[in-house]
Amino acid sequence: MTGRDPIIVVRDLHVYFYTHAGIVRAVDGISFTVYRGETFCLVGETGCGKSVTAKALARIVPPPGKIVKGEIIFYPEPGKPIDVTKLGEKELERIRGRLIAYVFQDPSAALDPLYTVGYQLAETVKHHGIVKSFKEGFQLAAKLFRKVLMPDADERVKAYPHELSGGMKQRSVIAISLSTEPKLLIADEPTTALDVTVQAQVMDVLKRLKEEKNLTLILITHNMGLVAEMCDRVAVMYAGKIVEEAPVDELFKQPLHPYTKMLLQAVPDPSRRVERLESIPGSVPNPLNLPPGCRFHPRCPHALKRCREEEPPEVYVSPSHRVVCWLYAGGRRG
Amino acid sequence: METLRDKVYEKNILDRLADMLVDGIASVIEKFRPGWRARNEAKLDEYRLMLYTLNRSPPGLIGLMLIIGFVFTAVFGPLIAPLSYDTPLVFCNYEKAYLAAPGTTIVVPQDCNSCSTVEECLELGIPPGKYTLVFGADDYGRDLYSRLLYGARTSFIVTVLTMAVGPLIGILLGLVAGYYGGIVDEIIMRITDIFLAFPGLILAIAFSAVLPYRISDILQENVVLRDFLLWLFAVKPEHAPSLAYLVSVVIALWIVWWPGYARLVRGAVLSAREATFVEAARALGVPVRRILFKHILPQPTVSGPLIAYLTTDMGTVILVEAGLSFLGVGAVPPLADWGRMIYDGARYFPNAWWLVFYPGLAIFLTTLGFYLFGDTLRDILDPKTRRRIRFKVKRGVAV
Amino acid sequence: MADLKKFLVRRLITFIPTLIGATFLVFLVAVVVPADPARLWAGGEKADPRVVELLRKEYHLDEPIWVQYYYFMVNLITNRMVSPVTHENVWSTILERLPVTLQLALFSFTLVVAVGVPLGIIAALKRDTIVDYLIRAFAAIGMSMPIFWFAYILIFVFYTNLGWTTLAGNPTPAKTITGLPILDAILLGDWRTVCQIVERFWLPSLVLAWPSIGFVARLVRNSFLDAMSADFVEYIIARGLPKTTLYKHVLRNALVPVVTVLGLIFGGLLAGAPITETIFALPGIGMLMIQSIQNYDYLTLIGGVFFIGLIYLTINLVVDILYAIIDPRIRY
Repeated sequence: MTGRDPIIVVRDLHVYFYTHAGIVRAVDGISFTVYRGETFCLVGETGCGKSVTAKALARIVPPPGKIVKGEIIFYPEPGKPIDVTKLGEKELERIRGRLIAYVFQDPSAALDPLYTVGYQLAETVKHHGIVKSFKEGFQLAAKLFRKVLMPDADERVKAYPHELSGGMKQRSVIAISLSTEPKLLIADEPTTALDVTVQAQVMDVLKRLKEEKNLTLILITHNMGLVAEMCDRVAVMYAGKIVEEAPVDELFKQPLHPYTKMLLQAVPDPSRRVERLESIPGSVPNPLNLPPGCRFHPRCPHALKRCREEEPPEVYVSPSHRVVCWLYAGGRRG
Repeated sequence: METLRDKVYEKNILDRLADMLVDGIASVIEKFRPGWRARNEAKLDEYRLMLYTLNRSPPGLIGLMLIIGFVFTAVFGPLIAPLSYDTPLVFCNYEKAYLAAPGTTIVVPQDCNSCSTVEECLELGIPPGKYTLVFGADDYGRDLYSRLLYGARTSFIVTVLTMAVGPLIGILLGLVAGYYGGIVDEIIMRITDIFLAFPGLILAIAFSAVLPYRISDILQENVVLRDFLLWLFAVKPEHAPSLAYLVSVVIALWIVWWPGYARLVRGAVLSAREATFVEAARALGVPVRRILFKHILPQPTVSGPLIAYLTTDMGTVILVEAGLSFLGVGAVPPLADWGRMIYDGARYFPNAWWLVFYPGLAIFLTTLGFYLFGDTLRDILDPKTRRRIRFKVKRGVAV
Repeated sequence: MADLKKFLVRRLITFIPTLIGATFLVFLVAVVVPADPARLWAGGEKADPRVVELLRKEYHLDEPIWVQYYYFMVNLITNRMVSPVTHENVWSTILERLPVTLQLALFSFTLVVAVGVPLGIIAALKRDTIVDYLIRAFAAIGMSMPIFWFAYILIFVFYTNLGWTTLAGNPTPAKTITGLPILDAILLGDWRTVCQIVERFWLPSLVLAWPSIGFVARLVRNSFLDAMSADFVEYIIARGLPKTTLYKHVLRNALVPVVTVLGLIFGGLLAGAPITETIFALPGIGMLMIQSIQNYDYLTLIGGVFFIGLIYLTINLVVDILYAIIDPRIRY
């Protein structure tokens, strides 16, 4: 995949939470690259560190979380790298929202209940200098609300969050986040809090806008169906580490890591009748007390003695497909 | 056993004391009920966290110490007081004892003018001895220090009696209103609104002003109750008629003290009622009383603010009781009451400043203790806040 | 806005039963008064039996309780309640005293809001710094200080030593327009009276406001911090909005719970009026109540209690309306 233009490069990122019960290594040394214009997915179970990774990209990890190590190189334009981990608050404010935008899981919580959604969009665009006045901001809001297929867009601009349904709220959040024309949109489980029927509509809006605006999208999800539908490349996370990364077709056709395989087996396939849906045995390890060696070994059906003792190496089975597992250690090392 | 926390974090002396306290109590229970400790390890860790939170709050620790000091004074004060609350040293030596400044020493019977022998002094109600009036004396030559100790008892008993009943009424009504909703809720809350239509102290003033007439009749008829109250308040039998005023204050405070709790508990129940586990309990046919007392009330979102509020309110009761006495509708002389002492001493202010200053300081410190501790208790009892406490990372532990 | 109208109507309707209930509660005070108030009013043990009899008739004390409540209500509404002790019309006495209490409470209320809210905000912004600790300590100390004690200390400093205030008189301008002396004086341009009023009232207002300042500062700080941990804050930061915008959102959210307790705070000020007025010899309703107690003038006492309840209920009504305006989520 050389020759492609990276938008964000994460190297050896560590994010730790210093909690009352001990240190939680939420993200423990992950590296990945996202290329301009693609949709990159981070998949994994709840608590695997995917949301923390997403928040680390614009440095909005809440305390007691801290980025303790690693670099995040962001290229707003090709060939102009910025190390996000080294920026001050002022410089970060210029990147957040303007260049890297977020859509969070729960739209009800993301919006301030005391202001209309139109106002919240207007203040964002006004601050980032997209428009000159609040009046223009509101006009832009109405325009963008139509773009996200909000019914009665002109009226909805004046609505308070509690007057909107979940789907409409998330649409307005998408409108707000895209109002500044960012380069990179990070959508953290954008449909999890919504009704199933609304989920598809919201994802359609997101997909259409992504194409239209030539956005780069990082999608965080645990929904493999969504991955298949939306993504170009996928990284699978387990207990704070990336265990496998591949283009989406390759991952679905030829999953390598035992965890990826199990994750895919746990997805219902409507084209086949199955008696029983596979579930992954065991549970996510206690983040305070991670098992030694490979973190997945207590749940892994193929675990070797080595897996219990030594951390597995990163293996590139092809230039675009890497897996972190002892089973493939015979191949080329990364 | 060394926990994960112990491995990565540094602990201060207080934290280690907290660990010892929790472990000590746990091992005592373990002796009687083997296996208890293993079953309750998670709960024990919560208690440890609570104590760590307290350790990280200097105001909370100060508050706790002030409360302990107050309770100690209230319980033992009357026993260690050098003189009784009504010993009038002026009978013995007017010049020396009248508004005696702090530090004055009077020796009975040597310093006496009116009584020359021990017997004569005893007859006047003054036991012989050497008295250093550390906080001075009032216009009857009564030792302010002794009166302050007795005053702690008065304050404490009024507070305990008030808080034992008033909030209870409110909590029960709030539980019922919040749980049943509908017409029951409507009626209870309308009544609550009516009581809340008056600022509490105003209604309390009115009731404490008119109640004593009825109460003194009741006390006269009910000798056992009267003697019990005499003992509780550490009051001499000859001052029994004054009791009616203290009891009136307590009853007046009952009347005005419940509506706040009814509202607080109702609100908490309304949100707890929607919780899935309550619905599940209802679906299983768990009796209402059990749901209310075993499922809803013990919830941290319900009990936490409630306990914190109860603690803070102890301070408010002390303040209000003193205020009522200051206005002349509470305790009457010669009973020792901090608020009344300020009222009586104000006449001699600022010359005999100690008569106003020290009782006020006593009220202030006691109330402060309850406020500070109550405030910290809110953090301690909130599972979220107590998880936010910070430790120092041990040296040598990965960044 | 239609919702707001519906809310207002509903709120006004619940106002009436509360008001009726309040009269009943006040009547309850009248019922538990001494077994034989007539004898007390007539002069105690040695009272002339004929006078006692006359008083009983006049105040319907021989009749059943509900008849007493009826006459009590009728007299209250038609303004015919006359005190057996002072022989003055109860309502007129109270109305005469009203401006002093109202003026005192309004001065204090202004102080509470003008000092308490900024202190709370500063404490929250400077969380866990020395400034925060000092403000919190100030709040805790203010709330736990008995004002009748604090008042004497302040009198000692500002009156006895510095002479910055007066403790007698009740300055009023020559003409009455609104009934509130300070407002009338300003309207009339009578600056000398304005100065006199401020000189007379600043210390009692400060004393009365003192505990509430601490209360409000603590409340504002805590609700500001609560709002800071709300989820919308994360989204505001993620949008790259500046600190000023963030604080604007947080402050508005933080002030919602503060508005709900404004009524409570005003109630606290009214409740403190008897103590403050007594200490500073201000002839307001609070002082009237205390004097009535000393004179066994229970009807005036009850009148005072009822009147304060009336003011408090009205204030709460206004606060509820304010709350509905500030928080669009309010739906009844």
